[in-house]
Amino acid sequence: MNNASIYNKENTGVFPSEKEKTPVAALSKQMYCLYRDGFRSMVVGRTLWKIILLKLFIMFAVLKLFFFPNYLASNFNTEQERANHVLENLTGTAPSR
Amino acid sequence: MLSANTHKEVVVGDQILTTVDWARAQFALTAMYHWIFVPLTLGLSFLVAFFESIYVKTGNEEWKKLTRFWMTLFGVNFAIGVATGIILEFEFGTNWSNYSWMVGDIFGAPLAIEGIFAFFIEATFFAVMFFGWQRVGKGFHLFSTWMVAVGSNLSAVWILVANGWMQFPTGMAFNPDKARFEMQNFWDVALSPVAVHKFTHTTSSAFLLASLFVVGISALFLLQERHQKMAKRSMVVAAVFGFIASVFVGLTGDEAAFNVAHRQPMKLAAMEGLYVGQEKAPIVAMGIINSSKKPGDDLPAFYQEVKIPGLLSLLANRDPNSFVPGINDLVFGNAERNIVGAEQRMVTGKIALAELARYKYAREKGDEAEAAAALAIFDQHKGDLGYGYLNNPAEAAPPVSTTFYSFHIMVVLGTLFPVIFLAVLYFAFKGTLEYQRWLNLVCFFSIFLGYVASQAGWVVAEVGRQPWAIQGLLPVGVATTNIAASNVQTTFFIFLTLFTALLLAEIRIMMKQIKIGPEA
Repeated sequence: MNNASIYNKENTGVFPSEKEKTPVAALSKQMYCLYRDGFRSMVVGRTLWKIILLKLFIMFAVLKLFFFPNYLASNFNTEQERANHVLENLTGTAPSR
Repeated sequence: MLSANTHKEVVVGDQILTTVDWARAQFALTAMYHWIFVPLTLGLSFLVAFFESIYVKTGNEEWKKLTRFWMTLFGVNFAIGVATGIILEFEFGTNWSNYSWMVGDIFGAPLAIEGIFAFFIEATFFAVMFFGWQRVGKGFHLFSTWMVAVGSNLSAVWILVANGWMQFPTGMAFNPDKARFEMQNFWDVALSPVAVHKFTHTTSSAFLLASLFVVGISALFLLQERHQKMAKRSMVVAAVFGFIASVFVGLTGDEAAFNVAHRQPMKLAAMEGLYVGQEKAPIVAMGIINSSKKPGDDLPAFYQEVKIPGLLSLLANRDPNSFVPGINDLVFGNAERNIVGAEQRMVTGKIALAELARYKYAREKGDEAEAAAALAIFDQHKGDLGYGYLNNPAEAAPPVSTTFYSFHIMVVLGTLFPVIFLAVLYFAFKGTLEYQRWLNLVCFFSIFLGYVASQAGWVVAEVGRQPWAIQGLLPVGVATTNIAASNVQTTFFIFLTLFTALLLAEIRIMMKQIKIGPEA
């Protein structure tokens, strides 16, 4: 889809200048401006982004790091060791025949 | 409860809870919390697309205002719910390491691709949808809104296929050297009947729930005598969508039950509290189940029940006179009906496990001949591998009361919702919707009922397939990691706190936006 069909020319300010050298550069600038102005004009979105960032911080910097290590990746070095461990669990946990 | 691994225990009151209990509780908590947000995202995205389509078609600015209002609520729900599903993946790696290792070949790559795909769709089209009103043409904005709806729903495909595979493992082979299920046929996995019905039933139930949400919030406006025109317009569109979704939920639910009857007959028997199999098996329209009853005992299954003869047979086999096996048949077997029970399958499963152990030992010794012999016997019996871990055949039965009540709550509510949508449409076309205070109250409280039905559906699906993590092959007790129960207990309460805080934040922000209304 070309830029002209995407963007509404009546809304100026971020619309690509005729002087833009390449369509890719123009589109990149439009995308940048879309995000920049969008973030700047947020109202309830600001609160939501704070919640999202706080949530992601708790999830990845606290929970994942301190409480949710990948058990097999942390305790075994190779794929074969991990496979052996799981196989050990599978075969070592059955009630006797 | 299965406790095949040497799990440590935590005493809570007079209950001893093992790692697997806490891991299951934590997974249930996380999944149910995640499922508060997901269905609203899936359904509301389409409703917003419908509203915007009407705006683009008519050019009426009131539809644009209406669209932006619901889009804001969609954004709040999405923002609070986003990434809550990632916690499930944390839990796989920590609490369910045996399981996640065993299925990694089947789900790992598709789930990762799906995550990346969803991220790019969302990052691109969400931005245009929320930021692009004044910047892009109407057509491209509408296209972006539709892409968000389609993309959101597509991002649910693989997780539901994965769930379907756990209920009906197909298209794979077990590799005893790697202790892994390896995919043999992608299409068998992706298009298995259970996966297809899981996706269609789940997404259509999400459309239904989102329609209830829009109808309910709009009804609140009518009760408050605010934004009445906008509310009535929203209600009509949502009621039409909701009614169509309700019919589809019923049809896909019927197909899902038919599949359950053939792939997971124990779950179907638990859903109906059917202990003794019979021809012309009835559906229990209403009943108080005897929770003390165990497979094989002489206690009555119900204290009180109202039955509809033949309906369960019709549901299960499309023949009202056909035989439907009960829990006792599936636990102890029924030679007359050629049903192999869990008791017999345990014998086969234990052979499979013993031969797997012999194979492992032979490989370690370098005795290829013995390894080959063990593998040949293992291959003959591996279909019942999971039964080898059971200590008692009755362990093959799920918690019957929970499954029964959840199923009946889901069905009763699922029958009520289309009636509500029809009532809304009737009074809307009569022009008296704003005067139907009772109906608007029912609509508002139906938001809560919609969530109850939706969660109950997942309880049926997941509790009803216990004790299996992978149907017939891996019980939950073996799927878990051999870690201390107290570790999982700690994170359970951390999640409980985090989720409660997030849910309260969502409700508060939503209520604020609803109070402001479409004028924001």
